[in-house]
Amino acid sequence: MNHLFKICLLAVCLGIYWIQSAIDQKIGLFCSTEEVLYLPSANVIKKLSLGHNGLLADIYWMRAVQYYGGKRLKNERHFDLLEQLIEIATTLDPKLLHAYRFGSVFLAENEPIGANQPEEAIALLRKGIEHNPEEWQLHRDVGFIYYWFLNDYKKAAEAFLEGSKNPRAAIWMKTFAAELLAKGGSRQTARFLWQEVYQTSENQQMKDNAREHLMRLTAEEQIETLQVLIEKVQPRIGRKISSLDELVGLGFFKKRPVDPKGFAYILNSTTGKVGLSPASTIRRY
Amino acid sequence: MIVIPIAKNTFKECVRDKVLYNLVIFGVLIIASSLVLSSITIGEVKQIIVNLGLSTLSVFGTLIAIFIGIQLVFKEIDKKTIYSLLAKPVARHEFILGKYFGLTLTLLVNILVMLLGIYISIFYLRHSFQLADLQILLAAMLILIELMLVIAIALFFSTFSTPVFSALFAFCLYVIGHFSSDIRQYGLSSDSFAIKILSGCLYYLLPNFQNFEIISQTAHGQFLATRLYLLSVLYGLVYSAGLVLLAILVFQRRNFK
Repeated sequence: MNHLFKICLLAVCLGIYWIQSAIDQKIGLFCSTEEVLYLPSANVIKKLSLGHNGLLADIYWMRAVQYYGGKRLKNERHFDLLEQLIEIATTLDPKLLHAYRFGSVFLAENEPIGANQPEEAIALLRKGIEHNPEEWQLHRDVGFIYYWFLNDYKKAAEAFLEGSKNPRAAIWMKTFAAELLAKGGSRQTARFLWQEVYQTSENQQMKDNAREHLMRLTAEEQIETLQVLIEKVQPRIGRKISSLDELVGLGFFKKRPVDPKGFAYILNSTTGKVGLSPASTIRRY
Repeated sequence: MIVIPIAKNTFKECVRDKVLYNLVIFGVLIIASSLVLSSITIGEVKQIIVNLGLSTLSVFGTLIAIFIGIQLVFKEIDKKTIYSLLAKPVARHEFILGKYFGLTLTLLVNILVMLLGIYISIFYLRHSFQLADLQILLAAMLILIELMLVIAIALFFSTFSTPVFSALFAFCLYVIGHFSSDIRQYGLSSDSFAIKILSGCLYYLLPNFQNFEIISQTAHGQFLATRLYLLSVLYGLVYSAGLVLLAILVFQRRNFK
């Protein structure tokens, strides 16, 4: 009898596993949990949290990270719930700094890396500044988004200047604001900003993202240099260059020039433009 | 001082009732969080550990305070052990106080073990402690004061009501106590003078559990202002004392014949 009971229990466990697997296969793993907010109002959730709003904020932030990561893994382009999830997390805990900082990056980055919502990212950071006026980095992030994603150098400079008023702010903020107003969106200023993000980020994902952008900037510089070189060489040799291998043959390089990720650049023989290899994993905008 | 033996006995009873088994669930939760969280989220894991640890400590503590608190008196009456107890030289107020402090002791032990779990997790994550980590201990002590208030509420109801209704009343008061500021706000924004007075009375009469909401601040490593902290502790102790006094009054009037 005892054995029969154990066997039945095992059968029930296996049965539950089998049925759930069948359901998951039918509807897709976790698909029901992904696109539902359950309680869309952050203030209602805060009231119902009975003082445990900090823990709920962490849970909602985790959900936002998982949502974003899941979409990235599946290469999906729509991040419909992302803004709301971050909004709920930051309303539940207005001091949740990493939700503002990382959340704004998730929102601002261009598709398919992010939600392509730089305005919403700025609104999120402004909310962060309102609740955490002592955090100068939030001003830097606002300036950064205006600079990089909206190409609004005046507003970017204003944000950097505003942040520089904080006594704990990095000393470059003020001078950079002035430089930005004078030079606008030059590659030099862009490189400086990404370099700054790369060096100061404690988080690996943020570092990786900054490194990707820096590699892209390097690639752009190298492509420009190659283009200038080709345009100078062509009149000298009296014919059009059809492949970058020719530059190797002419002694300009020992081997075919490659991008920062090691993929050889290509020359479009019809347009005469140098570009990234289709196989290259350098981030494209 | 017959209160101490009654308190000790209540504590032993709680241990016999496997109340401290909740520590196993807590242990699993906190260890799993320390190991897993860094891979599924971005940000400071320590902050989540503190939020999770203190919230679990508070939720489990509240459940124990309510569900054991409502049975403290009822069980003795139901099993008729109250007759043999009161036949001895035990005053009714000593019985109530003994029960109250017995459950408080159980929750204190529970909280101390959980605190140890939180500190071990933090040490596992950071391999060091900081001065700000002391705030976790202070927060846990404030949660204990909050739980003492919950016990007092449950004990008060258990002196005259059945366990089901006592649990219901205690839980409702606990939830309403987290909406105190709203009650006051509704009253202030109302045009009616009567509503203003009523909401004002309710605000001061009902236990204000918002005074003990310290977890989120602790997770961010911010110290609560000393005066505010001490006032919150005092509020909890005074309110609990009032409820225990009420419970004694009701219990003394009960007729067990």
